[in-house]
Amino acid sequence: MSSIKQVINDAVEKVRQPNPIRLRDLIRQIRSAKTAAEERAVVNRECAYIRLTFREEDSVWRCRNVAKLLYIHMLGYPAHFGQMECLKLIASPRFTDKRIGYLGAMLLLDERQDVHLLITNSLKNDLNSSTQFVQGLALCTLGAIASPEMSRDLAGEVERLLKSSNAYIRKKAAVCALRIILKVPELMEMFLPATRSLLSEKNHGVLITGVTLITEMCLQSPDMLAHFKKIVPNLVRILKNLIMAGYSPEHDVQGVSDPFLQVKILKLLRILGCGDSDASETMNDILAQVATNTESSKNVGNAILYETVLSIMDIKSESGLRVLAINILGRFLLNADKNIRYVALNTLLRVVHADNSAVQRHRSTILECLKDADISIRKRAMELCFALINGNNIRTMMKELLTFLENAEPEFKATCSSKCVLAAEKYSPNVRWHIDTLLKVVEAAGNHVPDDVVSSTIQLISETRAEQAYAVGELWRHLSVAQLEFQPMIQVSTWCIGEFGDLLLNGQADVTVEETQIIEIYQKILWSSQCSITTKEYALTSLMKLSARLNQEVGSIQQVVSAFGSHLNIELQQRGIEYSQLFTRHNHMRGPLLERMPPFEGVRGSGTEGEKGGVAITNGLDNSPDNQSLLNDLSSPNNNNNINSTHENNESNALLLLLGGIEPGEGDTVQASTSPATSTTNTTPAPRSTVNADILDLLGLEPGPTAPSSTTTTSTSPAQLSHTNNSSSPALLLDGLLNNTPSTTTTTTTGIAPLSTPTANSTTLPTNNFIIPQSLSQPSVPGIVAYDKNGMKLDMTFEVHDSVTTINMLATNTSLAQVTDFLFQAAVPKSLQLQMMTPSSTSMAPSATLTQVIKVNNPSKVPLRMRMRLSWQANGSVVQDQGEISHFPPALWQ
Amino acid sequence: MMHYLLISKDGNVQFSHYFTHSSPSSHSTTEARVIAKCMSADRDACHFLEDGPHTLVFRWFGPCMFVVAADQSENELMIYEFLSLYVNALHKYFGKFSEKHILLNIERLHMVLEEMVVAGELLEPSIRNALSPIQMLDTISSR
Repeated sequence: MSSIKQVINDAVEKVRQPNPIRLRDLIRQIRSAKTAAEERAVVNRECAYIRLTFREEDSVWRCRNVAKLLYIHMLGYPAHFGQMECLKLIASPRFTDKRIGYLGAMLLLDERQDVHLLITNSLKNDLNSSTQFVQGLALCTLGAIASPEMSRDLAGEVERLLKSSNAYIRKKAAVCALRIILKVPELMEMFLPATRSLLSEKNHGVLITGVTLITEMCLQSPDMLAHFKKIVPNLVRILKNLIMAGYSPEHDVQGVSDPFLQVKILKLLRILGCGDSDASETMNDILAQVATNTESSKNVGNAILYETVLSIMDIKSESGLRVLAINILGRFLLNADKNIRYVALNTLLRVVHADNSAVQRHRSTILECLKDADISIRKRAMELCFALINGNNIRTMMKELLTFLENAEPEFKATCSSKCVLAAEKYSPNVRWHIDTLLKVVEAAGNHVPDDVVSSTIQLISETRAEQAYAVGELWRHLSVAQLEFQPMIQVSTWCIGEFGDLLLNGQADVTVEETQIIEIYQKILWSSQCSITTKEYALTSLMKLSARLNQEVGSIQQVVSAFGSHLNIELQQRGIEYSQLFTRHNHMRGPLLERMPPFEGVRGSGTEGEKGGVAITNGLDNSPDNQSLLNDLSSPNNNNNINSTHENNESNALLLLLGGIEPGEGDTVQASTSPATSTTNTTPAPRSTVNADILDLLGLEPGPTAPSSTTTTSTSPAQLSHTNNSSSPALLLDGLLNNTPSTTTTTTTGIAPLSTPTANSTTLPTNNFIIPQSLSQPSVPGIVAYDKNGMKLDMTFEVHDSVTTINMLATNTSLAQVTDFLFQAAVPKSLQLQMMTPSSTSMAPSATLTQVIKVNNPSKVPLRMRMRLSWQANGSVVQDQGEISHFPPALWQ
Repeated sequence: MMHYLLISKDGNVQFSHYFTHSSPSSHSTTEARVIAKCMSADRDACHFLEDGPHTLVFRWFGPCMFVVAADQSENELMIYEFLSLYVNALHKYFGKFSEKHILLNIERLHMVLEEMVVAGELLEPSIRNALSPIQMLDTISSR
């Protein structure tokens, strides 16, 4: 009954208010909303109403409704349902309708193919219209949304309009042509004849777009560049007329005649004159004229000077002109306006490789800029400083940069410290200075030191035998007063003290240290809540090493180490247990096992090169699993086969059963326990296998009959192991030692190797509790993560049989909410066939999974791509997402 | 090449115009990031900021902040100057341009901008030439 009433009320309401509200009124309503919820209610009501009128095909108010929709879109609400209405408006004969329609198309259109096809037709009609405004409108839209297909379809029309007699159309056609050649470079030839005539134009609009178009052509193709060399005199003449011409109110900006055009011409001259002495010769005079005559008190003037300087430095200009240019930059650097200073630094950065000595003259000013309050300026200044460092000035520059590093924002510290390390590497005057500098860098950057800086520092100290005593003394001084919150410094210190602790004690290090003091500091670190797990791993291993270097305090070390046997962190616990075994059962090997590491070989800072990509893993307090494995690799306890006696038998034997049906207790099984952080990799390079063999050899050679149980423990000292690896391939050793990404540790393959020969169960079968279950389920093609968003993760693994690829999809609910009505839809290119099996379930509890099998028939072996659409319900609301998976492993179709 | 122009007041985006086509779904996140970035800079600080592959150039006019994202190869000072050219054009078009025009005549802002910039490239450096087609259309439609 009440619903009928509602309907009647609605109908009455509709009759009473026949016109939709105007945009202005809607804006007022939205603006007067007091809360976000209220605003949402207004928007939702209006959207519902607009949808209704769209459905009723109401063409009278369509324009008004789309305009409102655009406003709603601007506020961030979804408005995609207006796309088709925009197209209808574009097709309307009324200009106002078209205008709003095109505006809507620019704002609302996404990559949907069908809509693009429709709009291409409308554009084609409008480009051929007889009204210049309709043509102009269509050109504007085409410039904004042109896709490659659209560009091909409409290039002919644009080329015709480029020759139009109307300047208004010509300038718009020129930018459209620019967009078209950006999308489809092959079409460039077609526009060439029309483009040339654009320069003989009086209208500034046409000139500026013509110059822009030519610039783009020259950038895209060397042929065009050669072709346009001959217009240099024309450009020079235009520029001359501009600066010589008197006041023209139309193009005057703060007393400069059309700076926009001047800048565009200067840019084109730079491209044409680059590496060409004839062309450079022609433009020398005019550049000098611009550089001297331009008023530099206003922003426009400086903009022109900036462009001029860039041109002078890029072309083969006279030396006098270059001095002039560098002097202009010097003036810029001292300018009070920060924008100008920023631009100056930017320019210097661009020319520093061409003319280092000229830039060096402004070094002191640049160093001043490091202290500027402005973040953009400091960033540029920092980059420039690193470009200016050379063997002569490294000491002074580094001093300034270290001061900068200390006070820099966190975002700078990682890059700055990496670059400091590189620069010190390249130009350090002596080793002592180098070590000092690296230590200062590590100290100044606090917790923002990237891992590669830590390992570079350690490597440097390990390499330079002569300075080890000095370094360890310095580090002890740091450590004894250390703030425990800064991890990298503690890591470097503990590593070095662990390795070279004897130098510290026998007085070579220029400090007097009591053994008790050392133990005290270590205890502070190990039990501090400020230190990260990684740091504690360093410290624990270091303390263990010290047990072979100290004389009196070995007992207390044993106490500390064994206390870690019950630590909550599994890694520390494992180490605690393993190390305490070295005090008891295997005490006789403790000495040789804990010997000093051999010096690292290979190129230092190799990790730093990769760091340039921008991903800096900072070794801060947060403990990502990546960081954890660093120490494993450094001190390689994972390689030396200490057996974690608590869980060895049951689990590993169960795995052996899986592998080849060996009775537990049969055969001498040597176990290599690897750290949990290591994971399998299928991309292991071939030479690895030799290292494997070495490790296997090593394991096979030392069947220490110490344990009476069925399993045989083998312990190899890290030094020994390193030697073995070292002899076969030093680069790989470094991989293992310095690389902290778990997937490249050498041990990973040990678990995989025997898989192919499950019969090899008699003698050496190194198993890894964590690797093998993964390897078993791992097919020959690596799996991918297809989707990981909104609390949903899709993993895909593959099996290939001839042309049919079977995709096993595993969906994991990573959110905390119950997922229901899970639906996965997929589409593949036409040449492929797709078959979707029923999923194992449609609902998932938090962190539960479901599986679904997808079969793809790919007879023509084309690269596999897949569009997918996902939807599910969580927390009572529907989640929808779609996307394309294009990173399938190429092995699937090759 | 310029990629988009935003006008913001009190940290809200009041107007956005995209010169090059990008997916509408990414717009709101980009805008929020860019505005937050520019708002955090001091008023007397440098008006150029890096944002991924783009340089952000922003300029305050009264309570409104205008932001343009451009390629890094563009002349930043010239973009900075362009913003004032655009505002001057709006002043000339509306008589006296104020933030209420952004709210109530948003499509006019788009129109003026379209006459000055197409596909991210400056089309018309003269304000008079840029406005004349719009004014002509206005007189035709009011007749």
